[in-house]
Amino acid sequence: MLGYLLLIALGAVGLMLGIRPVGEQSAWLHLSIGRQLIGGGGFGRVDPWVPWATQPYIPTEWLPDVAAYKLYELFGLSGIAWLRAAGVLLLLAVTIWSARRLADTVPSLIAAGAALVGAGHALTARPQLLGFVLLSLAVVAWWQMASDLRPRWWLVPLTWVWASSHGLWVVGIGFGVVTIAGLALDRRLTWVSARRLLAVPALSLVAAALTPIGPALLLTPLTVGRDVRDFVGEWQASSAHDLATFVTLCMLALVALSWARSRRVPPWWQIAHLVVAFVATLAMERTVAVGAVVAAPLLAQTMQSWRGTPYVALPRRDAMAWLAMGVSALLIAVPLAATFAPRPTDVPTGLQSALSNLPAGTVVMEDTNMSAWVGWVAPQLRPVKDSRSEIFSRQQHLGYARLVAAAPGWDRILDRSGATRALVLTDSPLAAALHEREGWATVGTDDGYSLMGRP
Amino acid sequence: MSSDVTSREGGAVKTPFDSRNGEPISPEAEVRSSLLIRVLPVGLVMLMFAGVTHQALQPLTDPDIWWHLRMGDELRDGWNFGQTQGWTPFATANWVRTQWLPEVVQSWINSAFGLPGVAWLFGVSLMVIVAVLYLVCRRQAGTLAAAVATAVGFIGMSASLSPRPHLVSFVLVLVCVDAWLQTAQDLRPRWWLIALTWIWACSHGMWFVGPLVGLTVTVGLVLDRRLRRGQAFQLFLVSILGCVAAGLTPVGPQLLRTPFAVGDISGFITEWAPPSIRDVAPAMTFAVFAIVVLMWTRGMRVPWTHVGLLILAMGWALLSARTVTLGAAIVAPLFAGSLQDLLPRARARVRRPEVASLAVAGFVCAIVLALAAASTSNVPGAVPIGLDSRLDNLPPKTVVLNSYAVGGWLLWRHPSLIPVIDGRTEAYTVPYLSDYGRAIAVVKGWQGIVKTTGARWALLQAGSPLATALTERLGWNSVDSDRGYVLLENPSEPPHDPTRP
Repeated sequence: MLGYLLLIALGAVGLMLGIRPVGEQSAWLHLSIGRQLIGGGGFGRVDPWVPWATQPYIPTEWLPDVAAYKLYELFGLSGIAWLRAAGVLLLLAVTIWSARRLADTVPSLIAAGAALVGAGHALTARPQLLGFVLLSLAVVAWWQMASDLRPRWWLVPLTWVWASSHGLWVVGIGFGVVTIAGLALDRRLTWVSARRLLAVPALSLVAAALTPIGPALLLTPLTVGRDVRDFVGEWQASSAHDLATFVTLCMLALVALSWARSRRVPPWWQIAHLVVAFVATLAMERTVAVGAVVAAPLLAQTMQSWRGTPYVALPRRDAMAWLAMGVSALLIAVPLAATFAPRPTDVPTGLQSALSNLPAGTVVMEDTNMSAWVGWVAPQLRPVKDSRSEIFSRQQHLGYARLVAAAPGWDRILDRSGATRALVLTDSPLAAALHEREGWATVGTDDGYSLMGRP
Repeated sequence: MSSDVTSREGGAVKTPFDSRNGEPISPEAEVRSSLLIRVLPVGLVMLMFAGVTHQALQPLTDPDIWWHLRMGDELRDGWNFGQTQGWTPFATANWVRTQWLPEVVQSWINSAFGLPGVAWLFGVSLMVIVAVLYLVCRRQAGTLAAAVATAVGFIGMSASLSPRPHLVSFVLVLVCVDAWLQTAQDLRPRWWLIALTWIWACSHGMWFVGPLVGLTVTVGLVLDRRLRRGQAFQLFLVSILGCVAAGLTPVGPQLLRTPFAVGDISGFITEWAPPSIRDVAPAMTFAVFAIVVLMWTRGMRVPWTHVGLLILAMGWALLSARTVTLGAAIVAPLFAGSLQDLLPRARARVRRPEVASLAVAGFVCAIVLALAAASTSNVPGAVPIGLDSRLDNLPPKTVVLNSYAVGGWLLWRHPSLIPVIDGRTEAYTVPYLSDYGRAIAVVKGWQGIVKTTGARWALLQAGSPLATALTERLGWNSVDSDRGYVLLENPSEPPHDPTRP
């Protein structure tokens, strides 16, 4: 009974996290990319949206971008909200599965719930969510392979889908290599079994090179964001003050300290998983969810060890009941999304018509947090810089930062940009500078943003 | 799930308190170790002495050292432990003198020997940290493991090693951890820790870390079921009486509230921001945590005392950039002990020649420091000393709209002036700090905030948004500049005394 109550509670939390109005800036960006690709356009040497970008944009997440735009065409933003909820529920389901294979119902649900909190930053309407679902599947696969040393070849086509969806595919391959290295240290591999297991990540790498992006995709983990990490918030080091990071660190601490106090010596491959999760959790805010997903089965196994009894596999009848509950949750999400998430949030919709009416080619100085939304509602405009950080040079990022802060030289940067409109936070240094120094007038305000125009 | 875990070797579970890692090996059982292993690690520590000597032979640049000097100067002139009267009308929050003892020492040194003396004191303090760190690690390990743990631990502590009273905390936390690790072995209370906590409470606001270490170890011993009720009571009493002692300093019982005062304003202080794994000190400290845990998982079952100390250390390291130092200090002896477990040789006890050689090396470095500091550290660093004469000519009680980094220096070098902000962040209210931040960022309403201060002069970083805004939008004139700072004057405002209503 407790298990079912926990399961229902987790499902309800998953639904709540998923069913909310769409407001993530990345959602608008990916919808725009989907619209661009479906409309027959592409991203060439000269960027179609920001011609002065210095690097071509590579749409590495084309598959979910196209799928999401198709869903939007059919169901509007409610469809996007439902898609987010489906992603959250799917992540929860796979995490529960990875934990339940190692522990009884209650400890596995607790571990999965903790992982859901730890993955909090990833529960957004963007391809990253799919990336984490696929990562949790890869974690399950590698636990299975570490158990019986039999390769799971289905990871190869999964990696193709993954590489067409999000850059986390490289983490999946790395995770496999780390697991194999751990098994080697445990002296459980023969040459034959090692070769067979290594073939999985090797063929996965080949599969990643065979997406429509081509072999160039293999280099993107090395080049994307290399010069501009300092300018992207989610690429900064994570903080233990953040709930997701704190919970994930607690998960890892419980596992590590339980091992230290235990009479049993954990295998090297599990220690390697713990180290991967620890580094991922602290490395950057964006990878805390990696730590949480990897930590979930470790925590479940640890909690089961506290019980002192071997776990009992989930009976088939219960498994079918859980599956039915999951499908029901997806169906319940449909009317909920239509009711609670038909319109966007956290965007100045009151300025949408003013933006849409601006002539094509108008250069707009946009706050970074709004550029994706502006690109979605008014694609005829040209932003000074948008949220695709990797296509701009470090120099452009520095110039933009000086402009936003109204630092010395900001007026020359503004003049060089050719911007005649600005969408900025009303209470920002740039808004004050434009008004006081350059005499820009405020055309309209909404939701804390002002649309200003050059006199 | 495959059965891929193994029982630890040796059958029965061991604890770190068996002969190999507990009491020093007796002379009869002491294993001969090669000269190289005995000498090189001590040489590494001596090299660290030389390194910190070099680090101290720089101009003093920490922005907070100046107001600490003024604190010490004023306390020596009257021994009034109350509020810092008359410094600035903008600091309206309750300010408690939590660091008076080292401030007095620093002030006396400065009076006698000038800024080179303060630099010398800083260098000697760093050497003391290295020495104490080594000796604490040495109590858990042989020379090689202790030296490695000392080097790594010092790197982990390095981010917050500046010439300020918090160095006392970093020394005393090491002493406390060592004392409690000894107590964890012999179960005897160290009553002298109560007096130590009193001294600590006179020196720095982190005094409560000592009793916290004590409580952690005591709880660990209880969980390990190694204490009788009477013993547990005695050990808890050491920590509790330490807290009582902290309330009996000349500052009074209000000192006991100060650990909770930082919370509201921590968002305004860079060093209280969360640490980043991309910085060397936190990265090294987190790596040490990982290595310790890794060794524990592959070695003997670890007692709750060690687990508790590790959790405490991790908590401090994750809390803020400033407290990474505490985490690195607490975990260092645990790291040394773990490293020793990897070595084939047993831990050799501390020998007199070892201590003597370190003492001689420290003494030599202190002499070098004293001789060289006179030329390297006689002028302040990172402050616009080239503007001293202009600032000296400003009328008394002139309000200066200043960058945070020079507030302390203005208080010490130009005590007749009134800076709008200084490094005593806890002395300012949250709304005031928020307004200051808005003015510095030049967001909407910044002009009103500037006007409220009554400042006709500004000393700001050249090229900062506020400096740019004052000159471009309000017509302030740039009078002079030095070392990256610009002195601005508002030509249109009459003089205003903010101390008058």
